[in-house]
Amino acid sequence: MEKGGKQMSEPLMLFDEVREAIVGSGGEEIQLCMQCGLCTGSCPWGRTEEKSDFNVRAMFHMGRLGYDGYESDDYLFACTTCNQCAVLCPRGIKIPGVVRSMRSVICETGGIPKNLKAVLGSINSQGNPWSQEKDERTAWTRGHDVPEFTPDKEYLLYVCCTSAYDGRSQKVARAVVELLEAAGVSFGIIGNEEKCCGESVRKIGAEDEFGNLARHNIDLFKQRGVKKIITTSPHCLFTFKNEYPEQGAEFEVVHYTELLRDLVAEGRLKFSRPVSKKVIYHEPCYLGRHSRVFSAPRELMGAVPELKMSEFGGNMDYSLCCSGGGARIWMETRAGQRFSDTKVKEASERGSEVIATACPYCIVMLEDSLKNQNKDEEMSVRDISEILRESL
Amino acid sequence: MAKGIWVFVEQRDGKIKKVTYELLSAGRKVADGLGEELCAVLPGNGVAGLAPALGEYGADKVFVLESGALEKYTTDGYANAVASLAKQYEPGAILMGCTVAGRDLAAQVAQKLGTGLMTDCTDMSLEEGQLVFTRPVYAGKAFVKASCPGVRPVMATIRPNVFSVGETQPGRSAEVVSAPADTGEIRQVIKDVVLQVSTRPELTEADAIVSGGRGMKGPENFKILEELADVLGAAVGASRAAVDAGWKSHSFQVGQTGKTVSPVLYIACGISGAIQHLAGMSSSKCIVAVNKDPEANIFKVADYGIVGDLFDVVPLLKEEFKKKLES
Repeated sequence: MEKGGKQMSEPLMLFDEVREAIVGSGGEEIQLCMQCGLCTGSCPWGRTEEKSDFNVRAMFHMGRLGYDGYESDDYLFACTTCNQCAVLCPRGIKIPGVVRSMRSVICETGGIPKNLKAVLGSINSQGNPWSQEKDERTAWTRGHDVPEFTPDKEYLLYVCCTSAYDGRSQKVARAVVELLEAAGVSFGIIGNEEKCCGESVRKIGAEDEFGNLARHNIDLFKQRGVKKIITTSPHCLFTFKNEYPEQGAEFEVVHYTELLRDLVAEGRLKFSRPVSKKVIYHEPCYLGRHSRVFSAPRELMGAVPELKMSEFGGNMDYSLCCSGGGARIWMETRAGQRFSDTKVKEASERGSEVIATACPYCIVMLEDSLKNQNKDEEMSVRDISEILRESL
Repeated sequence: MAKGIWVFVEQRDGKIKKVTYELLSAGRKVADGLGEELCAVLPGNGVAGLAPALGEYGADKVFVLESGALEKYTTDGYANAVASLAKQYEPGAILMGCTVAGRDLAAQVAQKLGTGLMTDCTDMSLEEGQLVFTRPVYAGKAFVKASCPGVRPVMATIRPNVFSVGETQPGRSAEVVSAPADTGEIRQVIKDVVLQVSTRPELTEADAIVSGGRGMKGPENFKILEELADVLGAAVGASRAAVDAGWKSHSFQVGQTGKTVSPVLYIACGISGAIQHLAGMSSSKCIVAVNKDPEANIFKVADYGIVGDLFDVVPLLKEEFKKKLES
């Protein structure tokens, strides 16, 4: 800008050390980016009613050149790691992985958003992110006879922290148990000794905390003789399957929808009671785009008599995130900027009575949106397991 | 040759902010190092009386810019006055606190003077006759040391509390220079400054909190919670659903994505008890829940649960507490 005959400019400070730190934290793919902008063009932050400043392409550019300003709460920590950009990236960059590396550089210094510090405090003291007592992890089983895991059991049922502690989500854990029992699956839970899987903790950038959680769980599972694991949450599925092996885990891991689908195919599980509802399926990012489980949830709902299943305009690889991933579940997103608000509106326009999903984070986000959109009387959010249990 | 270290005196309603004294103390050292004057720049209306005391904090000279137009802070008025004074006297450096007003003013003045500005600094030193400023980058992971050797004045905003206030020298006086305040055209009109005043304690510091959720049904109904809070000397909080509904601002939100609280007494009214909320308050010593729905999750963490309509229960609680506390 020319002003008063003098050249006004802001000095641009570039630090090679920053790029090196990002690369050193596992983000070497940041160097592959060719700045085409397909990531930003497909990012859900560009599709909310109230626009956000967040721009993935710009963040990569800044991180790569090492200049200041990408590390703020509403920039680096805005990404929900939904993987939409990554499935489209022409250079095949695993973008959420690079975001995680960039966050870990900041996390080392303690520069993470304030609300996430409480999460890490709770992880360290209680082994769960919700500041709840570690000895209450099995509170969801009270009044229900849930078998304990012993080496003769085929599967360990690992219940997500959210389904273990959140009253709403506990219903999901119990529904999964009833379905497994109905199909005669040999399974059990470990319970209070388990800790959080650490998927979203790692997305904060908290590598040390993640490593501690993973090693604790792996040792515990091995010591108890676990070979196969069923998860209730796609987030646990993702980390057990893709990140735990780096720490020495060798478990076979399935999401409950995958197992139930096989059980239906084998004729061990049958749905007979009609559920006469218009149901729309919200694809959890960590089940769909991240873990490539697209057909199991749909086949299961297709097996329920009279259930009228429908789809969002964007689904499978193009499904819109709920905005709860990448540790965003623990951060505030203003109403109007939540992707789940957009989802609820579309579901309502399509005349749905039930939004079905298969992830505890999605349930939390979608239910909050139902309330802030005043749609909680016309629609409900249900986990697929709850619908299936009703149909038993 | 531009000489002298200037410090902008930030005052509101005749009360000088602490950061001004911090900058005078730090400025004194660099001024001595350079063998230059330390000057305070004091814009305002009816502020001349504040000038002599600045000498006790180390100022050699105080420029008083008096004008009715400088009564309240405006970007244009203050920037025009400070910039035109600087054009006249050509100081070597201008320091301001990294406060809301300081950040606003520094950018404008630097632009008017066509000079360099280093913002958000945490340290200042003299190296080979140059003022060198330190500022953190990447959330504090790295520090940048920067100077502006080619231009004068050097400008910087410095964070409050990074320098300590040195010992005052009672009786030390500064030369007071009354300068004309060239406020120029002021495009902002400040009609009134409304401060949010609450006699209730801060949420995160309160011993008792009365919180409302979606069961409050509307913003006007928070009045009954406020009445109960006032009897108890408690703060008022809200759940995410109540904040989403626009009944309370986000600063009232208790929960994982709002404020984490752990008061001695937490009274949750019309709050279902989603995990999001529990994560922010379940470490409270005693939790009382009032909810119509006996199945509400909040009862699982409550020490005392009252199943009933909060619009009946809360006024009763208020009356009973009042009687107890008065007796």
